Amino acid sequence: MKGDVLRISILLIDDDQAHAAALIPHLGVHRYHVTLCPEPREALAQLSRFSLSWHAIIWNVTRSQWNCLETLRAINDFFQGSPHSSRPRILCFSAVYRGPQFRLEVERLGARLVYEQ
Amino acid sequence: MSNNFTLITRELEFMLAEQRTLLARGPQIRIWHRGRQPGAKCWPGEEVAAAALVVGAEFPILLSTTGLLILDYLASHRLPQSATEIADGLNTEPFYAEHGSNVCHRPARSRVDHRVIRTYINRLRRSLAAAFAKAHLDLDPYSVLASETTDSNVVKYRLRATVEFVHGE
Repeated sequence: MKGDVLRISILLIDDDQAHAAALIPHLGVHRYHVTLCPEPREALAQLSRFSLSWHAIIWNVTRSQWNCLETLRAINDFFQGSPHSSRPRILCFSAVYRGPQFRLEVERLGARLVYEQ
Repeated sequence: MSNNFTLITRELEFMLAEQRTLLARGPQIRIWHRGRQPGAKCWPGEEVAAAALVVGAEFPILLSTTGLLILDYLASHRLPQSATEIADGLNTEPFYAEHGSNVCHRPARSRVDHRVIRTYINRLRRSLAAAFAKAHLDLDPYSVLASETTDSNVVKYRLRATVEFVHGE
């Protein structure tokens, strides 16, 4: 229908409230509809409830490197076990450099990693 | 801080564009032909040696010889093909009838009956699904190796993928 625009739904995982408050309007300018979860656990619960809704997950892993890989595996396991759900693309970002091994692990799990400058 | 966000949004745009392209054009598949004669490509006598899904890295699509030949055939014939057409092609087209004759010690390949094509198609879909899962690609193998039913209820198969043929000596 003329005038309709495909709405891209993003699930944002960000435990830094100030950071999220600044990022969400920036994503809004690009017409992304953003749902914020402060923790990965809540994000997994959202995925379970609304697994068909998300085009992408973007995740601030600056503070949560320790459970990032575990959560990525949980997300992958969830979508492999849900044949009718579409796995969203996953983009991790960090303000702290984590080294090449971390990036390799993230990419092996099907996600991407960028560093904020 | 907005400069930091630009990196995030650019990468996000790229990932979403990549996903749209994947859905529109299908995945990228690489097929290796071995036993190439100098100056020739995809000529009779070559062997279809292997196939892989390419997503940055290569993810093998594990198939039997007949499965590889069917994948190669569908990649070479972009129009939908029925089981009878596939079997006829594998049994009569020189590339498939003389499969592997340039490579030493290749056993003769038995004829393919059209009644087994559907079984091989399903195996091919399972192998594709396994490769997609390893590459964390959200693709339905039935949309990549699609079945189309004609008005006379004949099922035809079509491969929706970008295929690259690689040749070795």
